[in-house]
Amino acid sequence: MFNAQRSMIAIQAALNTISHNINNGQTEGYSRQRVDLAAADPYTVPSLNDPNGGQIGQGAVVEQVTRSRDAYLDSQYRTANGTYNMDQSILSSLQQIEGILNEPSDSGISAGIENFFDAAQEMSLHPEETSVLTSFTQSAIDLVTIFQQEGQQLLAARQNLVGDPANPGTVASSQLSVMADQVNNLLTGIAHVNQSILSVQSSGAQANDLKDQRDKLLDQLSKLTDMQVSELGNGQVNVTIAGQLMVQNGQVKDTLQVTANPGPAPTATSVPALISTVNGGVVLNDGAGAEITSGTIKGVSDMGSDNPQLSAVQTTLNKLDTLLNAMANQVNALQTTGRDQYGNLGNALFVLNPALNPTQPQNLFHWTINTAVQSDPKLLATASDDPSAPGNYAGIGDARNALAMAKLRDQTFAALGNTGFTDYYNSIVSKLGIDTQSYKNATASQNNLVQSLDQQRQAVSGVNLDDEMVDLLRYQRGFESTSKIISTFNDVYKTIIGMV
Amino acid sequence: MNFSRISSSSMIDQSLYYLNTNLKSLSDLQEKMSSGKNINAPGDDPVGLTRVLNLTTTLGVDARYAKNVQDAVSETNTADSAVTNMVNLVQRAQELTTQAANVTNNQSGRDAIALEIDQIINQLVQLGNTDIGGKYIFAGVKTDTPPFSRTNDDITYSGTPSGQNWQRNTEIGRGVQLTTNINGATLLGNVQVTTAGPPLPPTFAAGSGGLFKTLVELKQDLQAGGATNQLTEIRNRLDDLTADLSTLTGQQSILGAVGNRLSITQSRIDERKSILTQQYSDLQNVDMPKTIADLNAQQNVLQASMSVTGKILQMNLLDYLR
Repeated sequence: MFNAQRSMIAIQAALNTISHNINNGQTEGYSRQRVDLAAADPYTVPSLNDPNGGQIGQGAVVEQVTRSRDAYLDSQYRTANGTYNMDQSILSSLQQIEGILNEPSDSGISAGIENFFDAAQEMSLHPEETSVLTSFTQSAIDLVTIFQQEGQQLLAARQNLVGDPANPGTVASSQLSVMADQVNNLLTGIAHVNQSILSVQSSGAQANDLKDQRDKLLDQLSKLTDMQVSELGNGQVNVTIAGQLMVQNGQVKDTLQVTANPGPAPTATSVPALISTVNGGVVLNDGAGAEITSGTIKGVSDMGSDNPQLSAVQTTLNKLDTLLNAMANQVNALQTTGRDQYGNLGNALFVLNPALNPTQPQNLFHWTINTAVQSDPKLLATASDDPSAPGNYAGIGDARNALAMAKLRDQTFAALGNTGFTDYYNSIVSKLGIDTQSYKNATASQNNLVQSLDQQRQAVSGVNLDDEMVDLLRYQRGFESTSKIISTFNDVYKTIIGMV
Repeated sequence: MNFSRISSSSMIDQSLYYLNTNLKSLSDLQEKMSSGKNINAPGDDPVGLTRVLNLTTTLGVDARYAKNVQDAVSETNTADSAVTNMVNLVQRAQELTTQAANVTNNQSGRDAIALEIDQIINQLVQLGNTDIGGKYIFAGVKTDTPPFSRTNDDITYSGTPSGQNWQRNTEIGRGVQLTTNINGATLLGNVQVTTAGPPLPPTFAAGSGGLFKTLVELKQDLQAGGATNQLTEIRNRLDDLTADLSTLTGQQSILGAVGNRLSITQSRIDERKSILTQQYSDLQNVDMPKTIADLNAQQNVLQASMSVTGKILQMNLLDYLR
């Protein structure tokens, strides 16, 4: 009867496990557990002439509760998940830049450049008309305005991603910092679970649910960064990020921090904010040595940089800066070598005023239109400097300099890599488009891969309610039979006792 | 995807994934239909977008050239009508001179003719000062002041001399410039008289020349009294007038050539505009019937996937136990 009793306990354990499975069927990261029943060690009668015929069975015991989990699939999934999240974060940044540049439209930079040169053409037809001159000056103001507006939006996007070194407080609230904090929290969590698993396993039990918890933390970590997980004895794992040991057994060996890049001005640096290990002091996103190569941290860091291979925020900002500088300098060169309508050599139309935006080093934010020209349009140098004319000034009808300014549109310049203004801008937009399209495709296909790997994991670890129902029936029948045995034994004993 | 077993949550995840994909396709089609544009962001079609941007720029530039051409046409038309009037006046002067060269004319007849010549000179000064909205078209680049002014028999030209840069150029095509004005000094000349009135011939300062010189000389020849060599002078003036007339008609044919050039350019721009507009429309304007058909198809797919999801997710072994 003890067999039956032991078996009932085993069956109850199995039913318990089934109920656990069913209740956690929808829990994220849960791996289904199976009870391994084994025959109990038989009772061997120690005598030469054994009337019972050898070993006597002792019923069933629970050998262990195993967890269905494939570690290899887990590591594949985490790698794919890291890449997917990196692609996803880059794509969303690229789409944000698309929104800022806002092409095709009639209110973007493309339209601004067109209007400017069109106004110059009109000026070459009617240099004597004040309204035409004012219109030209206004188009220059509009041009600078649209560049600066988009520049500010790009700055804000960069600040959100990786902070602004000119403004140290922003680094701590940037996405990069938040992600580093999340990583640190997860590392602490993993170390903590390691400790708990150690204490459970050293008493001989299986820490199945704790391992599930740890796997879930590792999955979340894989979203943020790439990492290596090494299994040790006693159910412990070590976590390494970019070759730096972060978690060893139950201890957090190192954490991540984000600091403003102390290097020279942001235009000359890769990333405005550096992510590095606290104890090891190793920088993980400067493009040299140990590097984080996947996850949202990589995505955010790349997009905040001035990496010329990618339409990153800083890259785009730098290119817009180059374009406006080229335009302003070329127009100024013509203005200062031409004659205004008073017969004097002209003044520069575009003027740099760093006081407009002292925290930003780029010229983009400092250009402004000469206020003297704004109030007196006749100061525009529409005429050319003509040595054959008296006083080098041929007359108010001389619009050769205005025409020269209009024809800047058709010229190419070394400062822009031997293309013209419009072509240079179009190449910025088309590179952005190509990058966006390529990341759209990459994200979609990587998503498919991640889904597929997750499906495979689910195939191994997922709970199928129908499966559990069938098992439930099986054990229920077993339990009913065992109970029947106990009641039969009970009757037997009652009969024997009744005989006395 | 081939698996040996499907877990309940993986079925749900997969259904959600495909529903989401379908919804995304549907929303992309809706965006196209509401904006009417195929390409709404650079990532939609990078190569197409570059072409759209280039087409937009070219159409804008062509519109500018068309405006420039219009402007030039208006100026050359005004100039042409002024020069035509000048030609008529010169022809009248020729008639009068022929009359005056008739030996039987007496002095009072010649005086009357001299008066009319004087009026012709005034009218020519006025025509030389033709303006369009305050811009003097025969003054070279000094377009803010009237080029011709007359004091007695001095007719001064204060516009840009023909030896300096008097041309006003307009761009009518990429890298193509056209001079749209003609020089007043070339047309009419100017006169500085250092000795006023008869005796003949009046002394002109160096640099005097052209039609005005001929007419002033003619007037003075007519007003001077009697000797036979006046007739010779008057007949010389007839030759001068012929030369001056051919100068005027020469300038007129320059204006005619410019006008032709402008009208050819105008038609080319118009042709190009219709071709480019068609190209732009092919790239960027949404093919409504096709998109509507796609939208309907996509809606059907979405409905089918939702209906299947609903049916599958409800199936459970529990329904069949006992």
